[in-house]
Amino acid sequence: MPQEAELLPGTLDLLILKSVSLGSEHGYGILLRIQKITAGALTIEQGALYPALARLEHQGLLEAEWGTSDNNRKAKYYNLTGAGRKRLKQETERWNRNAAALMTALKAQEIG
Amino acid sequence: MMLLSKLRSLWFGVFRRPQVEHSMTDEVSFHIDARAADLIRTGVSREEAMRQARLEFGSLEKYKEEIRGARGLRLVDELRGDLRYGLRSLRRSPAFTMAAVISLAFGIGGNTLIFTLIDSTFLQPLSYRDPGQLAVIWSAPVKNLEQIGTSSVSTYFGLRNQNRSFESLGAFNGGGCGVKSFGMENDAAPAERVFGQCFSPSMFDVLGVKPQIGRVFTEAEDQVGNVAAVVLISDGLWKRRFGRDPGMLGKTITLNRTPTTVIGVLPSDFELFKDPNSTATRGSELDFVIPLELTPTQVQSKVGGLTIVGRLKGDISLQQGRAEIETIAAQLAISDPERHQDLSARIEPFRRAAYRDYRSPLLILEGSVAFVLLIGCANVAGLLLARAATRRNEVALRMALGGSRWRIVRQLITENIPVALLGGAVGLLFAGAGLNVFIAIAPHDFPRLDKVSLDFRVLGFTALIVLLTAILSSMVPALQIAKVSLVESLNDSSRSATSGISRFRLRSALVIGQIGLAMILLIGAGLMIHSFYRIVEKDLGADPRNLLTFEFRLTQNETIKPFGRYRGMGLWDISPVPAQRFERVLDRLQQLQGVQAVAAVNAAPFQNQAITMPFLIEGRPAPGVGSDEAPQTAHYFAVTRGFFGVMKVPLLRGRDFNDHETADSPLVIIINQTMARQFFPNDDPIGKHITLDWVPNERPREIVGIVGDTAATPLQRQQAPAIYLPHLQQTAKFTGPSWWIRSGMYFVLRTSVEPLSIVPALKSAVAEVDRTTPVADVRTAEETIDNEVRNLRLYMVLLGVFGAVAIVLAATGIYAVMAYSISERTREIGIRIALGAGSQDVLSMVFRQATFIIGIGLIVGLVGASALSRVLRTVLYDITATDPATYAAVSVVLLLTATIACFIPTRRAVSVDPTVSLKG
Repeated sequence: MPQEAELLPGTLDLLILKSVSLGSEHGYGILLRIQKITAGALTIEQGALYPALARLEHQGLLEAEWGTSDNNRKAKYYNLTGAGRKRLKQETERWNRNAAALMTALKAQEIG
Repeated sequence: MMLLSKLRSLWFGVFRRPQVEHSMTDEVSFHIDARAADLIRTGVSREEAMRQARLEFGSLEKYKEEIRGARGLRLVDELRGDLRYGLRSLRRSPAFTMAAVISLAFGIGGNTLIFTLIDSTFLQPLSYRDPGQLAVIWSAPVKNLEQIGTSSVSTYFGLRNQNRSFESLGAFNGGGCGVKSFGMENDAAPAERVFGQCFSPSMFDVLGVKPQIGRVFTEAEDQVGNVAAVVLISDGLWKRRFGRDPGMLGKTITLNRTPTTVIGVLPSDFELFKDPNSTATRGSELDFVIPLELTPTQVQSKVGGLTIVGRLKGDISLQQGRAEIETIAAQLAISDPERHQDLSARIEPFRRAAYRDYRSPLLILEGSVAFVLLIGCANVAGLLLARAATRRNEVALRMALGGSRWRIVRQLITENIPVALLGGAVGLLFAGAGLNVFIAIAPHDFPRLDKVSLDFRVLGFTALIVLLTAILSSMVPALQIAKVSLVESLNDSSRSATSGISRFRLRSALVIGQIGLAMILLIGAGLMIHSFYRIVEKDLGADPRNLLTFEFRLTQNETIKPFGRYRGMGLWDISPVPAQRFERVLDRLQQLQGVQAVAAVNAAPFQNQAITMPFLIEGRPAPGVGSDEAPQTAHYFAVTRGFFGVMKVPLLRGRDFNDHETADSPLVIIINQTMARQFFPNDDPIGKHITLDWVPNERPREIVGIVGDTAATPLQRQQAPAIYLPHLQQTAKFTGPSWWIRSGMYFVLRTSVEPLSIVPALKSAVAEVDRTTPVADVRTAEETIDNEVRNLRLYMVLLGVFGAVAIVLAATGIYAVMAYSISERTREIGIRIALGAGSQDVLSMVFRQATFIIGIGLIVGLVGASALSRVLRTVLYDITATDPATYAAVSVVLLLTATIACFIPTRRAVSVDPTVSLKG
């Protein structure tokens, strides 16, 4: 079982954006998706999801509407907006760049 | 994009709050139920599943609160709560509320009032197209660039032809051609005096003005020496005389006896600032616009008269424009020295030129109301500081629970907004009332008086001021409270003297500031009142009571004919007709009922209209030509016989003119006392000869008398030398654009009855002699003087009101701080009395404290006032800005007020009962 890691600040937003990009989903469903795509490596307290969702909606990166879930209950479904898609792309690229740079640094055998 | 989304979110949060809350709860419950359902599917019991789901979720309330925070609702909630608290505490302490509201209302109301005035003159856009691109160009001597004046035709043509910075350039001239007599053909009514402007056709382009109906005149209609007889009339004239009949287009009216075709009507919002050369007049509206009517003589002349206005090209700045016109002016000085030597060009934005006279006074007034506002805020701050003691524990607790200082300060400021709003509401009432009073007492030519009103811009400004007031008045108490240390306050140190003392020091500092500001304001008001009093009481040298004046002016055609040129200016032949006409009118008026005596003079009395005439004294060398010495000049008056008698100007030496001074008798002249002192300090002027230096072939004139000085205007800063000629002995030629002084006279009538009652008889008497020349500008001399000082009176009243309000507010502040100090020191006083101190000692203790505060405040005020004295210099006459008498008087007023303010607290101090106070 992979080591459980503390969630770095800011990564929760990114994970949310990524999960929603895979398809419209409600809060609980987003949580399940995150657990799946990180293979359980990153944990958060469940309630912490919602302030993040509210913040992203407030900033216009997500839009929400009420719909019916598979078990016929009212649930709030989230979608990516155009701005959200753009942010996801930007952040992903940034992470890739940073990670690559870090990997190069850590692989270095000698100076120069 | 993000901002829009945030705003929408906030909107829902504020106005659809219940829905937002429901939605939050629903979403969260859904989550927990869904998790529980998953757990049930794995075999967990229902109750156990729900319990576990809730546990996994975490604290519901905590996350709900975080959601609210994420949506920006926390701020909204906090602000709402603070405001509500503020309102509640207002209701709970009505005394505080009233005191605070009144203190602020004056300041806010005053600021609103003055802002309205500033807005209508300096801030609201002028009614031209793109007014920011408009600039006015003046001429000024190279040696003294501050002395701006109008430009010659040659300068105008030069600039117009050579410039590249201006989209269009135009000129107007109100001086010589702006005053006409107006009549209708076949109209039985006597002629009416109308005022207008002479425009170059390009002026309409420059200003971007389009007529309501009809058209403007073309370049072809305004050629030098060949001007079409066309006119555009104003909306006002159109309404007044023609009832807005569109059939007027193309009809003929007579202007100065010349048939002129009406080709258009100006828009109703057309406005133009007062031409600096214009001899008109108080509050005259523009009635017409005609072409520039340039004569070949004028084109050759070096004398100015044109005001040049230009529209800068879109991408050219004022700086660039300035550089170019200065260059062109310098080139003209080289290529055409006769007309342009020693002249340069100055440029300034249109609005500045239009409202120059009002800049200084409005700034002074704005400064004054700002002071009043500050004093009011200081009062409220003091009141809040007093209440601070009770809040200390609450604040300390909040900070202990993790509140930030900034949050506390923000809270205190927000709580103060309801008070400020109330103050603003009352202030608006004050401003509205004040505005009505202002409109009633303002001079007629105050710009855009009809547009001065409280509108949305003003309300917006008031809202800003309210916010500023809330911040200012709670800043000091808020920062003081926020400094509270946890330990000290939780130890219930209500008996500790330390924080009480620091609060007292703060309040004292505030009061010292208040006194200082109030002093400065009062000194300013006192200086203006003193100045006004001196002007009004000033001996004008003539008696203005029961004196009626009117203007009687013939047309240019009846007065002059071009003759040639002299010294760079046009030389005119003066017709003998005007002088004869004046004599006939004089004779007829002498027979009027109710008239004790009548005479006439060429310059309107008390309106500073006389031209300056250079002269030479026989037997003395002429002042060096082209030197820096000022030329010998005196104010030039041509009078009929009996003038000095009518005006009651004393004859000091020699004799008055008699009935036999005509063009054929020996030439005589009378000088005033200042002239005698200045130019004949050691010898007797009587018998000496003076020659005017205006036209060729001047003959010497013998000085036969010396009269007392007459003020040119009540506002004059210095008495000028003056010479008086019998008008029949004036030269047969005249030079320059000031020929107009030969075309008319101002008749002065000393009446034995109420002056205005003889006006109808007057008009018909004059009409008997001359039907076509109007009797214009009929008024009493007292009315003239009143008009001259109208502006001054206005500022004086305003400043006086503000000063009075300031001192009352400051007195309230003094009272409050002394009362506070004594109540804080009640225990101490009780102890002292118990230990044997008499009321004498208590009094001296209080006295010392009061003296300190008031004394420092006084000094601050005196120093501040003298530092700011330069500002007042432009609106003061006859006294210096550091007039000691005024300073002393104001100091006395302040000390008296302060003493009264301290009276009640002092009595209370003396009557402290030790047994009561020591019990705590």
